Formats: sequence, C-alpha cells, structure tokens
Amino acid sequence: MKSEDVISRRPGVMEARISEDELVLLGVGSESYVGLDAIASDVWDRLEAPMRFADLVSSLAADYDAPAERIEADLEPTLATLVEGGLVDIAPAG
Amino acid sequence: MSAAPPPTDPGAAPDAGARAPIPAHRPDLAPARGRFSALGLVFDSDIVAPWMEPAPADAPADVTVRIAPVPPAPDAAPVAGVWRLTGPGEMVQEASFMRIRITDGRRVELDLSRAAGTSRETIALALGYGVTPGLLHQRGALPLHAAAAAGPLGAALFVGDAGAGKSTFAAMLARSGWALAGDDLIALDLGEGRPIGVHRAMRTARLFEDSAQALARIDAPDPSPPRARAHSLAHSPDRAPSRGVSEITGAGEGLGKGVRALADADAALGGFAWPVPLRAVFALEWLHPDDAAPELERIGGMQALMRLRDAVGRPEVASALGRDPAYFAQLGRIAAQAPVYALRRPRRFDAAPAAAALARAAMEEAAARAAAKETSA
Repeated sequence: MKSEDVISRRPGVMEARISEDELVLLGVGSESYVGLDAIASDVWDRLEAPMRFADLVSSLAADYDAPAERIEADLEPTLATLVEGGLVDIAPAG
Repeated sequence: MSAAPPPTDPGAAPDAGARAPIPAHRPDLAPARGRFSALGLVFDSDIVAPWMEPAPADAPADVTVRIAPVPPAPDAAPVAGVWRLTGPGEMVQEASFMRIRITDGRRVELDLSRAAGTSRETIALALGYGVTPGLLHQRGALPLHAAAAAGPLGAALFVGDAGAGKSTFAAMLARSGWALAGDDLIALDLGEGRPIGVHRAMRTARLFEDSAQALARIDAPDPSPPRARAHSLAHSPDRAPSRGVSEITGAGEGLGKGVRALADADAALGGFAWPVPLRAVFALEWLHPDDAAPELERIGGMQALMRLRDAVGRPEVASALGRDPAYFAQLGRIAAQAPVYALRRPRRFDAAPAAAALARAAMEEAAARAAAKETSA
C-alpha cells in the first residue's frame, strides 16, 4: 500500500460492540461478520473520516509508541480483512 | 400483579366524527375502550382482552388503538413483508378479516368491516401478534421473535428457529414457578444507563395441539392457589380449563398455532416489577437421539450476535424502515450483557424438566456474576 492511498469506510456498515475489546462489523447486503479486536477497533474508529495511509500509520505510531515500520506491518492484515469484508475502500494515490 | 381483566368502558364512544367500521349484526365488535400494558407500552384501545395486563391508572397512553375506517393501500405503495408503506411514518396491512393502519408508532386503526365471522378474541390476538411487531419497528423498539420467562433470578430469553420449541419451553416454565413474559413477540427495555430488561408482552402462548396436551398432563395435579389458575377465555363454563392452560383462544388465519392464555407464577410469586433484568439468552435446539441428555453450551462472540440477529421479528420491515444499523448495535449490547447459550434437548416432553434445570443453573451463575459486578461498581 502506498502512503498517499486513501482509506475510507463504505457507507452503511453496521457496528455492534459485543464486549469491551470486540467490535463486530457487517457490511451492507453481506452476511459475513467481521470481528475486530481492540486495536483493529481503534483503526476502524480512526477511519470515521477518509484518511491517507501515511496519516493512519503516523497517528497509530504516535499513540502506540511504536516504529512506523512495525505499525505498517501490523496494519496490512487488518486492512486486508476490512477490504475483504467489503467494509472499506482504498483509493490508489494519484 | 393482578390477573384481573383490564377495565373497559363499553359505553365509550369511538372518536368523534368517525363511524366505527364493523359488520352489521356484530354489535359485539363495537369499540369497548380499555387500557392495557404490553411490551413496555401503555395502550388505550378499543379492543382489549382478559389476558392483557391492565395499565396503571395514571400512566399516559403511548399508543391508541381505534376501530376506524382505513382506506386500502395504493398499488404503488412499497411492500415490506405483510405491510405496505403508505407514507412517511405510516403503513397498512391487509389481513384477511381486517385492514390495519399504523401511524408514527403511536396510532393503530383497525377497520373491521370484513370481520363478520371473527371473534373479538381473534382480533385481539391479531393486534398482539400481527400488528405490534410493525408498531415496534416504527418506534425503533426491536421486536424479537422469541419467548421469555422470568423468575426470582431474572429473565431468560428463548430464541431459535421456527419449530425449535420456544413456545412450549416457555409455557412449561410458566407452569413450574416462572412468570411468562410472553411468547412469539418480546420487547426489551434497552434504555441507556441501566441493565437490559424484558418487558411483559401478553400472557399467551402459541402452542401446537400436542404441546398443549403435554402441558395439560404436566398440570394434572392441581396444587395451585386459586389466583394462579387459568383465565377461561373460551367462555365455556361447561369445560373447565386445565391448570394454567386454557382452551384455545383463537386460531384464526395468520395465527397458525392455537393460542392459549396461561396462568403463570407471576401472581403466585407476588408479581414482578417489569421489565425484569435479562440474565441469559438460550438458543433452543433439538438433540438426537431421543434418549440423549440435555446439554448446555456457552456461545461466544460473533456466534452469539448471529443467533440474536436471527431473532429479530419481521426483519424485512426493519430493513424497509432503516432500523438495521440501530438494531445491530442494540443486539451487540444484549450479547455484551447476557450470556448466550445453546440449549439442546431431545424432542421428548419429559426431557424438558432436565433442560429447565440446566437453564436455571446458568441463570444462577449469570445472576451471581451480575450481583458481583454491581457490588464491585
């Protein structure tokens, strides 16, 4: 993923918090429930407004006090899950 | 809580200026206004039935039910299950013996012009089972296709596929020390800042004949105090109902199973303060073979949420009214507060007590956890 790629939530995604550290999402017309742990939920919350990948990484790196490379590595599978579940769109840079 | 019928006023006139649309030669269908409580709402209604809980005298009405002319829905009105969406906040249902309009979740109108062959009880049941799910959807109040019962430990909600035995299980509990919150349609108190509670619906259960007969056999010895006995809804003094399971009240079109009013343990236990805190959800399943012992399994996370979502009543109406996102969040809250269990038992009536014992044990645990949480808070 490129730094300038913009990640945005798809409209109409439904949310259910089933415990303090688990959020379940369901996309429009989908029957595939996607469960997010506390950190993935935090990522989802930050995407309330469309966000550049670089900005998402830097905000997480600051808040979790971790190097950007590590955040990027952890973020990739989370974003892949969200894309696969039809929950976010990623608009390529430029 | 009293088991007396709600007060009625047979002399009350319908709304000024509107002639009540009732068939000729059916003066018994004329409006007889009364007030009852169900599903967390106070109804001021032209149709009441003895099994509807009387409303507190000073409680303002949330919903009015009037016998009034209702025009047919235009052909172009969008369809949402059995309802046609006829305007903002308004929908119409064309049932076989009446036409119903609900407006803004506050006003129900019943056009009984075609109800010549329909009893008052059947109309009341259609109001309770066929109309109120739509009413609750209009109010965003999450109607659940479920049964529920309450005991001293709190309330249990029973969900499951059609034919999973929800009605029979809840009715059986109602015959063994629990109060029946309702069957087929349940509403919860989902107010913020307090535990989720189960509202009382109607003291009726929709039972197949074999289930009713099995319950009657359970009831055979009759140690109950007189106040816990069944209401006789069939008006058949020559046929005394068995303890707790009255004659069929109405089995009209669209109602499917026979509907019986139950006397439960509510009065005998001194009456519950409804809504009763929800302690646990049980997803009922059948178990094979027939001699297998009932079993209980905790369902976690997403699976619990999925079971609950399957229990939303008339989901097509929820979607048409745009309620899905709010309901999904509310279902998450339910799953977060109440443990969800799969309760599996063989398809034998005599296995029900053992299954009920498992449910009771789970309720005890949940109640203890809730008490500990309250103490630590």
